[in-house]
Amino acid sequence: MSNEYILQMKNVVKQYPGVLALDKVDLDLRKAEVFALIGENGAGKSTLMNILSGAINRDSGDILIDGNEIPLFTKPSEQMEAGIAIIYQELNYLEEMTIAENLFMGCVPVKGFLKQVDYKKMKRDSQELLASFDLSYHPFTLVKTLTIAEKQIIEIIRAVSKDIKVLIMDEPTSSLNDVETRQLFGFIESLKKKGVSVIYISHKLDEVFTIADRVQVMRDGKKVDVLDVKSTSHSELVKLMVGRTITDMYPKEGIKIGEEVLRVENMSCHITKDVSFSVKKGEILGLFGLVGSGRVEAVEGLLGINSIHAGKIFIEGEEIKIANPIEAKKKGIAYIPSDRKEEGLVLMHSVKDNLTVTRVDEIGKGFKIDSKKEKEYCETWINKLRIKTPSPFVSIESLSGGNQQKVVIAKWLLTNPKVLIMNDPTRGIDVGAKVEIYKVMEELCKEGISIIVVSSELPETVGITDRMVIFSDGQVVGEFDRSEYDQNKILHLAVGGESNDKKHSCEN
Amino acid sequence: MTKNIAVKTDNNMTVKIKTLFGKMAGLGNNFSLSIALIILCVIWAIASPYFFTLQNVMNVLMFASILAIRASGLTIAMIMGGLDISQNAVGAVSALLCAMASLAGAPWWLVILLMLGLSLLMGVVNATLISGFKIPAIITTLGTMQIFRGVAWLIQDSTVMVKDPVLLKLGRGRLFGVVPYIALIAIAILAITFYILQYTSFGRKVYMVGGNEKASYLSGINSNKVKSLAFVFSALTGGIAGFLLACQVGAALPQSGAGTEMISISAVILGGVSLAGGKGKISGTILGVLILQVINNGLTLLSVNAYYQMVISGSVLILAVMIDIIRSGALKK
Repeated sequence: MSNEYILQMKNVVKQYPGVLALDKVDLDLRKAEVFALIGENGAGKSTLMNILSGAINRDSGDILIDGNEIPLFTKPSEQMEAGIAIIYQELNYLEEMTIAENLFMGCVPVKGFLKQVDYKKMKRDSQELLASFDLSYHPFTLVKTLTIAEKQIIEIIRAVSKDIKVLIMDEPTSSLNDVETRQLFGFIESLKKKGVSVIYISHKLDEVFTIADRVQVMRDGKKVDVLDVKSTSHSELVKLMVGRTITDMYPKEGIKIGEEVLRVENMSCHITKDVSFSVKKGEILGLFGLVGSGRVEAVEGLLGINSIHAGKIFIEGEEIKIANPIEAKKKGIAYIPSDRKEEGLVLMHSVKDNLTVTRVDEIGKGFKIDSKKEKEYCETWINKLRIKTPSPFVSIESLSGGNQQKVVIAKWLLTNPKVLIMNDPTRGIDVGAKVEIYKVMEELCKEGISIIVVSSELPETVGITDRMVIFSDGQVVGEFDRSEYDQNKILHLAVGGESNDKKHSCEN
Repeated sequence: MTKNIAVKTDNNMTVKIKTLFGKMAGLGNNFSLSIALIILCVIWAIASPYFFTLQNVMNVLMFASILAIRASGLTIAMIMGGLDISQNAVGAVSALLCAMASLAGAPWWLVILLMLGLSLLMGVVNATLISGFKIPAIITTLGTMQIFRGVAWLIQDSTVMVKDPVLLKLGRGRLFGVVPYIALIAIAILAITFYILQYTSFGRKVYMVGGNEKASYLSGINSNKVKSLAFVFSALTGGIAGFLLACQVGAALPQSGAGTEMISISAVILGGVSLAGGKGKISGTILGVLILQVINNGLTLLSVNAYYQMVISGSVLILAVMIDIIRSGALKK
């Protein structure tokens, strides 16, 4: 056995009723490396990591940490003692407490007969801990005043303060903006220098290339390959993940663009100031900006979710007022929110109920819901959008992310919208299913629908849009046609860099 | 050929059996509640020869009716995701004012219209606070429960007799001398509630908004309107129940129904309506009401101390929810 590896997993098998979640998976982790684990949803990444953290038990296979065998049945607390910690997507901190209290959660230093909290020791120890990572927060700062990235870092420090050898991070950047992501990456580098090995699970390949040393690809519960990040490419990884070559990630077809359908003039609402943009028939317009740039707030104003302080909205040349999503629906504006589970679907109900919800008033006119019409709607759209579901009556929760998203799209198509606003249209969806969604978008454009894509993912926005409006600090700072797309220029504008385009777009 | 046919019928059989099991599993909670109710009835029947007499069964129905009327409105409010604990106070106020109107000479039909109007009005107060001012339903109705009750005492701090013969007949009379009119009214209200939840777009919207208010709102559903209607309906059933109780007793009391608010909630929860909203059926509520009422009836027949009845009713509720939690496997997580 070589000492090169801090952690070795061999032939790990996990069987669920009807599904072989892990099929003889190996994983070798070197000391002080960042090891990326990628794969589509359901590839087995999370199962593998949950086995490692002790949250679930494996059926068979060996796990060695530092050469020591880990028994088949363990609890998370035992895994922690063995030196493994996991940071989940959902952070685990106490908002109303201080940094020091969060760092010492569960092992607060006490003194005296009454076991009062020893605040002096707590302050001293946390200062030391923070200093060792070159952080200068006051230990008694309330955690709720920190940014999400900072909270995340506090949580990681808490984990590594307990002499951790392996740190697992499950999609740590899903709620971070670019600047915060860079901050986190810097922190991961410093962990590496301290000799900690990091397993980094992510959907974002760009991040893998930035931060990881090696990358393991998983598919259908199997290990596909382990590669050196330096000697692989974006397209090779996608191919390994999906199991086939995706020749055309963004199926642009050059659809004829028609008349202007929607125009927003000098709108101010919430954090957006004086923004103007418009979308034409059959066009896909991208509203691009970092988190907090005002792109989401702008469409929320347009939909009447936020109230508008100033500005005008025109549909097909006619000025309209929209006070809430109900009126937006009547005016032919449809909205697909980014958070499918919280805002897009009623998870506990069926595909049918979710699909027809936008027209429940029409199909329920009179005294009874027209179940024939319901069935007809379901059949039409399940076929048209190629939604994979055993029947319209199953719970929407049982569908895959891509198919759930298609149901959200379908429920809006039921209303014959003129403009479809899609906020982060492929969030949490597999690479293969993403292409499906893009194809559906193209088909809709062909039928004369205008689409506005709101996104912070540049490659996607560049890939599918015909025109792009760049947001920064609540304002529109630039506008590009597809022929002028230049990722560097766009990012430069989005992070707040000055440009001549700013003037140009303000005049528009 | 023959082989093929044999295989086919075989498949059909398995499909049929599977759908049968599927249907039984679909009944889920209702299935086990029905079994529980049957077992309970059998035990009571063995313990007391009086239990299965027509007289006693009709008594159970009569007492269950008031509870069932309240519970039907509450079921809609709770599927919507909100509790309504002001129902009994709404009932007390409208019963009291109606009894006074009746004594002052108002004809019975006017009294009934007055009752409906008063209950609607109090429902609108609840609905405005809940959906207009976004005050959580439990807090709103905790407040209005006390306000309405106080108003009832202020109007009249003593008993008001109901003397109108039509109203008394409504409360105490029986169709063909057997089935209490109150039970018929309760069945009608339960049937209407069933129809609303199962077949109307309003019912569908109640399930959707209760399941995920934000997603429903963003889908262009007027969630405020749905919520308001649900609470108006809940108050309306509260008012009807309180009024019928006064007709049955022959008197309206300001303290009528005070302290028993939680019994309707127990019945609805026992029937499988989720406190978080989005889930539940009126059939479950009916079973919940019957189980609670049968338990009480049996214990009364066996002359068990009323305080024990409270202990037992409470234990049954906790036990039922506990079984549900264990069955769903939530404990293993």
